[in-house]
Amino acid sequence: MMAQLGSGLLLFSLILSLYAALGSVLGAYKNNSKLVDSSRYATYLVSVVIGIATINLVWAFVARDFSLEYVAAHSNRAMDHIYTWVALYAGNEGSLLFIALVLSVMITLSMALAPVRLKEMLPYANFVMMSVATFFIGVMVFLANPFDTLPFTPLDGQGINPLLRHPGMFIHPPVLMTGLIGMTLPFSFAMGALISGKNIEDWVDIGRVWGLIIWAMLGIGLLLGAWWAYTILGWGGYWAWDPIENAALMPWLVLTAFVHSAIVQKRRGMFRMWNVALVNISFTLALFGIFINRGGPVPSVHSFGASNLGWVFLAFLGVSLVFSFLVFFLRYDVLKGSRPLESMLSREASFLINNLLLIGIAFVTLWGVIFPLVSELFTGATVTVGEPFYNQVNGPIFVGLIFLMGIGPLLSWRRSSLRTLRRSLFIPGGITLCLVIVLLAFGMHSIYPLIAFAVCFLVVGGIFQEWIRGTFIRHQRGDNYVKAFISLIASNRPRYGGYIVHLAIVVLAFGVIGSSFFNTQKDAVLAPGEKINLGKYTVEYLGESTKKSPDRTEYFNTVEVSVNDGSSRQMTVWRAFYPDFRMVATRAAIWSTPVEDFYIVSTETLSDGRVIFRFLVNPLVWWMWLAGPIAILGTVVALWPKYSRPPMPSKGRTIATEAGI
Amino acid sequence: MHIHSKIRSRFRITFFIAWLLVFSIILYACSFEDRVSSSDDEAQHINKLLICPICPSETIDQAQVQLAVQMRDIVTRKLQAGESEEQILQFFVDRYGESVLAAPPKSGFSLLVWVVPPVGLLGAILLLYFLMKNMQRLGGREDMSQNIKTSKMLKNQINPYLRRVDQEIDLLGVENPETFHAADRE
Repeated sequence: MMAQLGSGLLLFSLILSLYAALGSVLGAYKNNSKLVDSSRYATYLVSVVIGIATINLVWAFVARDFSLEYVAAHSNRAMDHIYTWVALYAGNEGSLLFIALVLSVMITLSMALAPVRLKEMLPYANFVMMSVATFFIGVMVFLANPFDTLPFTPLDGQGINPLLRHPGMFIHPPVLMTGLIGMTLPFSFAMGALISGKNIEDWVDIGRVWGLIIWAMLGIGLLLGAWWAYTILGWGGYWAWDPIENAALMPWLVLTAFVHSAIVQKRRGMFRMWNVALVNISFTLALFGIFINRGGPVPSVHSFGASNLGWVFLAFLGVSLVFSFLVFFLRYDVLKGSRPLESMLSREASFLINNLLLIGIAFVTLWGVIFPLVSELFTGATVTVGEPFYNQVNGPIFVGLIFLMGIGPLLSWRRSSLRTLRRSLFIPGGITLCLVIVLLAFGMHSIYPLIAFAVCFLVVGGIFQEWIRGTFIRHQRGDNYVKAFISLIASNRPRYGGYIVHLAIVVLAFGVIGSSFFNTQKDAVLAPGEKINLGKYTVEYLGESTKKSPDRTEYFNTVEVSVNDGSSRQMTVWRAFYPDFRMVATRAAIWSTPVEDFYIVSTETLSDGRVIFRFLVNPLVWWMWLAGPIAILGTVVALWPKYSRPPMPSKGRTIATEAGI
Repeated sequence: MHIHSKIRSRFRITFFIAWLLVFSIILYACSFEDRVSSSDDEAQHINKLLICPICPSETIDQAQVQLAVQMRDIVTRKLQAGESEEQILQFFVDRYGESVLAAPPKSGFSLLVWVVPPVGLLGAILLLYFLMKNMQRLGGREDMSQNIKTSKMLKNQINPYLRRVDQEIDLLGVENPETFHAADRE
């Protein structure tokens, strides 16, 4: 019953979304506002119907309805009900349903909240968005239906993948999927504006808002993935340049470029063509990511959603590319005629270079992902392109990007002079120099981390200089410091929110630099009572306890860690063996401080009672996880709607800039 | 006025020399070997360069399967036997093929993977430079000379007012920190 209902709902939503897509484009073309309206309501209805279908699947999980193939494959009776949420997207079919749900909800929200002045282009944007939704729902209905039934009802299901039983898994996959599919929105708004030939300047407003939301989601998804890998995969790292990680990183980078260059179009009316190209690339890369994830040609540890549907997504990617190129070239004329660049030393120019570097990283990454295929095609030899390649090639570009993050915001729009730049760099540069000398004095002598740290200091110095200066000026007018600071931030939320996000990126970079250049690692086999020395840490293995459950055997290895400053603590490393999956899951014990993480993971208990441990000292990793909340805060500040802003400031600014420059 | 500029140029020279000094100290300090490399570090370094043949895209340093453990063992033993990094890597390449390396060698066809990114980026930077020059030529020229004249003439008279304007704007919420300095501009 539940299966028929679910399948019926999916079919209904397919018809609805097809109607919404075709109706809005026809209605807009024929100027039939009734048809446009009814298509919009159909769009809203799609999200409701998909929502009911999702509830239906959740209910099937809760009711342990193993007649459904998907439920039987991704849950069992022993599974805690809280994991239903994870099981929902643990496989290909379910994650498609999840993607369809978030996509349709986002479309509904964006359509309902869109400002009236965009009404000329909205039907066309809706057409593009609902076409994408139709594709995903269609794949579900015809190729990967989550409501497919088994010929017989098994007594118990197979259970959920042990690697997914981690708090990070409650947020990481859904947020990442939302981020990837969310690329549809900015893309559709650009396409809508182009097809209609209207709102060419305005689409970046709504495109930027949704772009930022998606940017934050995808970023948080990536960071949570890193956290998951760090705590559970048990090798002490957080990022391995795995093809799937890359597939999510690439669109994020291009979207980062877009949220920057969208500001230029908003402020200066430039880069119109460029912005359209950027959302196109990010959407294409997002589809490429989904393709790689669903049975792409490259091996990866992320095989949860794997299927043999890769070709369908590749075909859709091709269609969307052809479509967007066609629109781009047919509408080339409306994009032309933007304003000229006035100086190479200006905010605009720095945004261009920023875009270049971000896209550079994205394409280097893409090149690394596809090179094994290229190599196999031309020479027949299979090669692996892994971490060493990306670190060596992308590392320097990232450093350049962070450097630009320190310089760019100090440049003024239109035209800046070297003299003012030098003046605004004086204090941050001085602080950087002092800190580099301090690092040298502490014995840090390798050049790469020094350069990387220096660049980070420069950015932080620049940001704080701006904050402190602004706060002081406001303080002189009688506000106390806290109030002065808050009113400074509130005076230009997009700008100061952006600074907060920049700060988050630097904090992240801090952790990456610290942990990749200065980590120490030691593998050791310890018998109970045995001790080992690791720099300032001494570890004593105390013993093991085990706990048997129907689906797993858990091992708890307790160690006593003491530091030579006298402090000590007991830490327990967790490991479980799942016989059904023939899989071992580990969870590291981490003593985390802002200075460094002491990280322990155990891989195996030998027959004589000795345990194989891996110990790591990872400096500054703590800061990486701090970057997440800071980035969210910054995005919220940047996006916080402004209600009424007097027109005075912008007028005043124009007068000052016109007279002053 | 003349004396003032002399002091300023002397200050600049001192400043420049100070920078030079500091940088040479930094470069000198960096030429030291950072850490005494222990055999553990060396083994880990090599482990990170080898892919575990049975687990997709995990290095033997990351992978937890038996084969990876054995390969790590081999690396350690070979290092103790005094073999070099190249020899050890070659040993695994002979057995499992070139795909066992985490990154392709910088030779033969695989050289492409290393060369394309820097060449492409350099090309893109050049292209962007000429594009920007071109965009610049399109406009923004004519008002430049005028600006210089105006600013020279009005500088002394208008500066206090501009400064005032800038401060007011800052209080109201400026989008642009540079306007703060508008008055001091050349």
